[in-house]
Amino acid sequence: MSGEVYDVVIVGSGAGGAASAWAHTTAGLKVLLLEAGPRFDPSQDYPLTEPGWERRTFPVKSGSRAQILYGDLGRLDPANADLQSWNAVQGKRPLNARRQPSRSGYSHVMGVGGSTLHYVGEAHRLHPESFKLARDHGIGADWPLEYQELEPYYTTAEYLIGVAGPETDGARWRSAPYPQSAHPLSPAAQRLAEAGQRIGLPFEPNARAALSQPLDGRPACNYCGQCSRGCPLGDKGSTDVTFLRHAEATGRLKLIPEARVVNIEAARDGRIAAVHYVHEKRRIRQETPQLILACGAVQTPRLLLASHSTQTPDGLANGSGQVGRNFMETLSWHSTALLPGLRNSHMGLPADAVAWSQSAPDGAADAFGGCRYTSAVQEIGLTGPAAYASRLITGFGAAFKTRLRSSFGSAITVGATGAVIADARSYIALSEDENDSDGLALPVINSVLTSNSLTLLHNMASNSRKLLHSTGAETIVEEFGSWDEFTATHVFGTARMGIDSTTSVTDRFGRSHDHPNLWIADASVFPSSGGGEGPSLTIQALALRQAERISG
Amino acid sequence: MNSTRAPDNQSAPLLKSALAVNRRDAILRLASGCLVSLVSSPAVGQTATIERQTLDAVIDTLLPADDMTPSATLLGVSAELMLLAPKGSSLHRLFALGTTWLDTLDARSFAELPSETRQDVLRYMERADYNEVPGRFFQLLRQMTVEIYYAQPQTYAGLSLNPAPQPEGYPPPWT
Repeated sequence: MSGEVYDVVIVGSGAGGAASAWAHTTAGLKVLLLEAGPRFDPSQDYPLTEPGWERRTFPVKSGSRAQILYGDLGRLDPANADLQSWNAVQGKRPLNARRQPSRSGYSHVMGVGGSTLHYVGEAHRLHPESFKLARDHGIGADWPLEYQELEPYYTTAEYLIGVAGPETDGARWRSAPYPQSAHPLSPAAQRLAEAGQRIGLPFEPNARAALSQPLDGRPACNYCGQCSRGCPLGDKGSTDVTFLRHAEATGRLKLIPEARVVNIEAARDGRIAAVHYVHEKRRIRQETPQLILACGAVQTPRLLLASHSTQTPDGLANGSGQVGRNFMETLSWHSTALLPGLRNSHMGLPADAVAWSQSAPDGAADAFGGCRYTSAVQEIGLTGPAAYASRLITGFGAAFKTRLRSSFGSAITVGATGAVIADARSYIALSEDENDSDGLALPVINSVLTSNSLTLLHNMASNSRKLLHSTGAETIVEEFGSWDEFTATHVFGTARMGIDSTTSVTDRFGRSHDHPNLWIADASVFPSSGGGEGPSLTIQALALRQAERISG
Repeated sequence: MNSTRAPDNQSAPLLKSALAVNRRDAILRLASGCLVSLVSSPAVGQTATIERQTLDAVIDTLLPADDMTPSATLLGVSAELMLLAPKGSSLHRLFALGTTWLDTLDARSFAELPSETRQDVLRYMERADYNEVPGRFFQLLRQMTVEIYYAQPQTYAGLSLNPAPQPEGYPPPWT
């Protein structure tokens, strides 16, 4: 047992846990933050300063990815085969009868900073209409709060991490301008912006947690285009260099990396009494007056389900039976072409331009939920010649080498990200026969695309192709998306918030309906996924609002 | 429960000289799949060895020297391929079967064939069935060769690239 006394124990140091730690420590509370993964050293662990960088993925540090299993990911109907992944070099992959997890699968980072270490740093606010899907469209679930309640916390988070964005608001109205001016559009983004004007999908500078001017001891971005491989400069607003740095500076945060929570102990009165975690081969029991789970929409329900007892045979916080249910992945689609005349498309900030006009719940044709489009050439790794040679440029010999040299820098990519509506077939379960090294049952992701998802995905692919053709590109050389492979960085919904304790896991502040001192501060609480927005800023805004509630 | 294991790197060492771990594993799986279906006789390929001279000739036909960049063998591609295909591995067997097949095409070894003929052979292999040795050998070898070769900054001549993205980055203007 640990003899240390804390006001709050937080599990997970990604977007939500780090924001929560900052809020509590700056409010004067003593906080213990348990992180299952390691702490990263940018000089050692981010592969961007040495030759050979293109062959090194991120993260590779031992223990920085969780073990995940996959159950039912859905059948593939050949009628949708125009959504099959392919590229010019490898052709179409053999079509399986069922959807498979991609190599990255549930793409995440386990470590200090969580998945903000590999996110490109999109800092989005949810579309205000996405909060009321059920009320306005009769699908999905409503948030038990509205955009205006989150707006002040969005602003606080933006100023803390340093978000660069456009001067215009659009549907996501603001009480203050972005703290930093928008980044210049990269060569590929400029061409997409011109194409978008022509076909009615207008692009604008994306809101990016990457500094356009120095701030808070961090330098401005130098546009290496590699945000997803870790940012050695520290200009990207990952939580290790923002919230956590300042929380640690208060002297009131104890952060323990490689501390894996294996059980949550509830007292007879329903309050959470303690967490049990494994660190340096020792099992430690830590009592806490307040417990905040911020492990993401896969690991948070896993911990709750695994912490069952005779009092709570279905797991903690699960009086509604909704823990693990309502899993929502994110629809994604990428189309790439080689555009004659385009140069240096590997330079600039990833996802620097965005088209929001279809992101409202009814913004896309014939499907609900919404989607958005970005310039994605850097984000999908088309930033070096190895990627061109292995994916885009066919052939061999001297002519091939010449063709690669003349083509390099001309790739242009549209990335589309779309909503998923909760469905009974999509949920997180515990494996019945496979445990991790601590004896905790592994999580199993079940995620099936509904007819609404397929219609939206067709819409995303169709518009991505239209955008590329409108740039003047004649031939598409690579496409991949969610239809045949499950790849999701953004996942939601497995401990959703709501007013009704029979249909939701937490209240409107992320507090468990069943346990008064158990809180959730990650995307598990999202009742709906939004229209393709990156969720980190919303997670942070919710965590800041929740912390205010806890500290009174 | 019927479930599929996800890629993970819980115990993966940081091999700076090897292919990215998940990429290497994917290639090994492809090589294994090929051999299961191709080699009906357990004896076939078990004791075969990679004809190094033939392998070198293949990768230098794939990526020959030109007036801006060196050949694949000069950049150590074949040496690294050999490290990635240790004896007993499915990749070693595929490379052994592939190089042996190439050397059966003519009285001369593949390396002794004229350049034009070597290119014709590779063009045939490029279009061959992926589930047969020539097709899969070509596809996997090409993929691994270009990834190893083009990751080296000596191949960046004529490209607007720094040796590594950091520390300079690519500040604007970009045109």
